[in-house]
Amino acid sequence: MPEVLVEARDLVVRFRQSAGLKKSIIRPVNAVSFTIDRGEILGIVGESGSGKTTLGRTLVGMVQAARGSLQLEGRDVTRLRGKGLSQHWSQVQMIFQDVYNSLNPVYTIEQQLLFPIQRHRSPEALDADQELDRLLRMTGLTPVGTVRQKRPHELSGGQRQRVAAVRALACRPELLIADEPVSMLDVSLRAEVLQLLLKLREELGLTLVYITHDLPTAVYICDRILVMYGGRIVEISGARDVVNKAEHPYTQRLAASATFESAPAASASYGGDHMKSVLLESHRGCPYVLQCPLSMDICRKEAPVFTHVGPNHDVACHAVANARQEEQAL
Amino acid sequence: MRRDEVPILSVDHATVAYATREGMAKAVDDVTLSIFPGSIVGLVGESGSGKSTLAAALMCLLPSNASLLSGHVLLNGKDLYQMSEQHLRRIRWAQMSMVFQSAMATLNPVLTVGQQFREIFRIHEPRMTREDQQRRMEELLGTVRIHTQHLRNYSHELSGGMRQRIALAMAIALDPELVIMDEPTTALDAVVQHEILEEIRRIQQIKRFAVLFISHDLRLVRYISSEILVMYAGKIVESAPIDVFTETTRHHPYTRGLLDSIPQLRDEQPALHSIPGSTPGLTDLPVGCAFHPRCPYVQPPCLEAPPPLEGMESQLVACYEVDNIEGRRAHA
Repeated sequence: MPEVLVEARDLVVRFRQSAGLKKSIIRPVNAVSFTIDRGEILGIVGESGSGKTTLGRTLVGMVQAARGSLQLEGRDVTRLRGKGLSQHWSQVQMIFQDVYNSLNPVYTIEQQLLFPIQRHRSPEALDADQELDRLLRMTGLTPVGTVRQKRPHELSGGQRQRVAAVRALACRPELLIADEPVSMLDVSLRAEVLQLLLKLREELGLTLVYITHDLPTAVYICDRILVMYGGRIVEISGARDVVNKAEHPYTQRLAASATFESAPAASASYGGDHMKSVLLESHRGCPYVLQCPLSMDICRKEAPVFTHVGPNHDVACHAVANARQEEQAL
Repeated sequence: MRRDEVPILSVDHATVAYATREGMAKAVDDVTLSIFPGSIVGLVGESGSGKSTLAAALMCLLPSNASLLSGHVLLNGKDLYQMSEQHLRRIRWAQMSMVFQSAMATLNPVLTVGQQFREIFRIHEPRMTREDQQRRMEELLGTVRIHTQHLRNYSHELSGGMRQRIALAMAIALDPELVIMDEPTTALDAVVQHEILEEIRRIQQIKRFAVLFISHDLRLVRYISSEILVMYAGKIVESAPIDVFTETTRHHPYTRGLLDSIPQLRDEQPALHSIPGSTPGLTDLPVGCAFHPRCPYVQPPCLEAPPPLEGMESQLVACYEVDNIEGRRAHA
C-alpha cells in the first residue's frame, strides 16, 4: 500500500463577497474529501471559478478551511498559525502561474535563491553556495555561474518558472503545489517545465499537485486526476480514465472539448453565469445541475455523494449512482 | 488551391516595423498571403512572432510607432494604404471586421449591448430605422444564440463566453466579407472555447465570410482552419491546406517542434519535447534563418541567409533542410 501523505476530509472554505450592497457567502471549496499518496502526481482540473486554486491554497495553508480537516503525515494542519504555519511551509511549497510577477525583478537569481536556502538549510547540508549550484543544475539552469548573476528579465519564461521551482525546493519540501505552472508560457516551452516536474518526482521522491484548466497537460504528467466543478469534486480517477472512461456528464463534456470531438450538446440560448450561483452557500444540490443533460429532481435537492465505479475511480453523480444500482439489482 | 478565384484580401511582401530605441524592429517581415472567399485561414505563432502586428496592419490600425515599410495590403484589389481615412472608416467593419482576444476590452463598459449595436448601424447604415435596427439585432443575437433580453445588459453583467458571442455578433453585423479573429477563445475555459469554435464554424458556413483565425494554439487552428500559416519571428515559415498539413510529416522544424509539444489525449503518449531556447527579440534577430539557434537540424547555409518560402504544389516551407529532416529524425 502506498503511504498516504495528505488526507482532506469534508473541507469547506467560505469567502464573504459583496457586490454593491448585496452581501453573500460563497463556498469555493465545498465538502471536498480526497487523499494524496506519497510520491504521486495528483491533478486538480477545473475551469475558472471551480475552486481549484483555492483548494491548492488551502493545502499550502494560505487559506484556512472553515470546516473539515486536513492532515499531513497524520498530523492535523487544518488551522495553523505562526510558528506552526512556517513549519508547514518547510514541508509544503507552491509555484505560481505568473512567472513574471513571482520573482523579485531587482535581485539577481543568486540573491533571491540564497536566502531561502540559508534559512532552511539542515545542519548536515553542504554550504548554501554548493546547495544552490546543485539545485540549479538539477533544474537544468546551466551554466550555473552565468545564471546566478542574471536578473529575472534576462531569462525566458520557462527558465523563470524553473527558478521559481528552485526557490520552492530550497527548503526541501515533501509536497509541491504547482498552480497553472505552464499556462502563461509559450506552447513550445511548456514541455520543458512539465518534464522538470516529472524529473523532480523521480529524483527527489517529491509529491506533486498539478492544478490546471488544461486537461491534456494534466493527463500527460498526472497519475490521478480530480475534476472540480462549482467547488466540489465531481470525479476522481486515473489520469487516462478521465478521458477514456469519464462517467460524470461534466467530465465527459470537458474531455470532448479538449479533444475537439463531437459538438457539445448545445443549450438553446446561453443564460447567465452558472458558476456564480452554484458557488453560493445557499445553493442546494449538485453543482452541475443547471447545465446537466441528465438532471433529475433529486439533483436539485441533494448534492450527490461518491459512487465507486472502478478501481481508483469515484464519481459524484445521482444518475451514475442510479445506473449502478440498477445494474447491481439485475 | 483555387488560383482562379480572386482573393478578398491579399498581402504582398508586406514588412511592418516598429521604431524603437534600438532601431527598427521588423515585426512582420516580407509576408505574402491571400485569403479567398469562404475560407478559414489559421495563423499560428507564439508571442513575439508578429501575428497580432500583422492583424493590425491588415485593418490599417497600426500604432503610431509602427509603419508599413514596404509591400501592399489589397482588399478586393484596392490598396488599403492608398485610401483616405474617411474611405477606410467606411470599409472597416462593413467589409472587414475584427474579433479580439478580450471581449471585455472590445465592449464599451458604459453602453448596453443594444446601444453598441445601434452605434454600428448609425455610423454605417444611417438610413436604417429603429425598428429595422431592432429586428437586425434580434436576428444577430439569434445567430450567436444569445437571448434578446441581454441587449439591455452591460458587458460586466455577462459571462466571458457570452461576451465573446456578442463580439462575434457585432463583427458580422454588417455582413463583412472577412472577419479577422485574434485569439478569440484564448481567455475562455475549454468547454466554452469549444462551443465558441463550433459557433464560429456554424455561422461561417451559413454566411460564407472568410476568416483569418490567429492563435498561439496549433490544436485550435488545426481544428478550425481550411489553410494553415505558421509564423516565426515575423516571417511565414510554412503554409499549407489543412488536409496536406495533417497528412504530411514534411514540416518546417519549428512546426515539427510545435507538433511534438502537444499532448495526445486518446492515444498513447510519446514523451513531449519542447523547443530549446526562446523566441528571439525583434531588434537582434539572428543572421540567416531566424530559427537556426533553436533548430536541431541546422546546417551551414542556414547561418548565411534566410531561406525562401517555397515548395511544390500547395505546401510552402521556408527551410533549406526540410527534405532531409525526416531521414535525420529516423536516423536519430
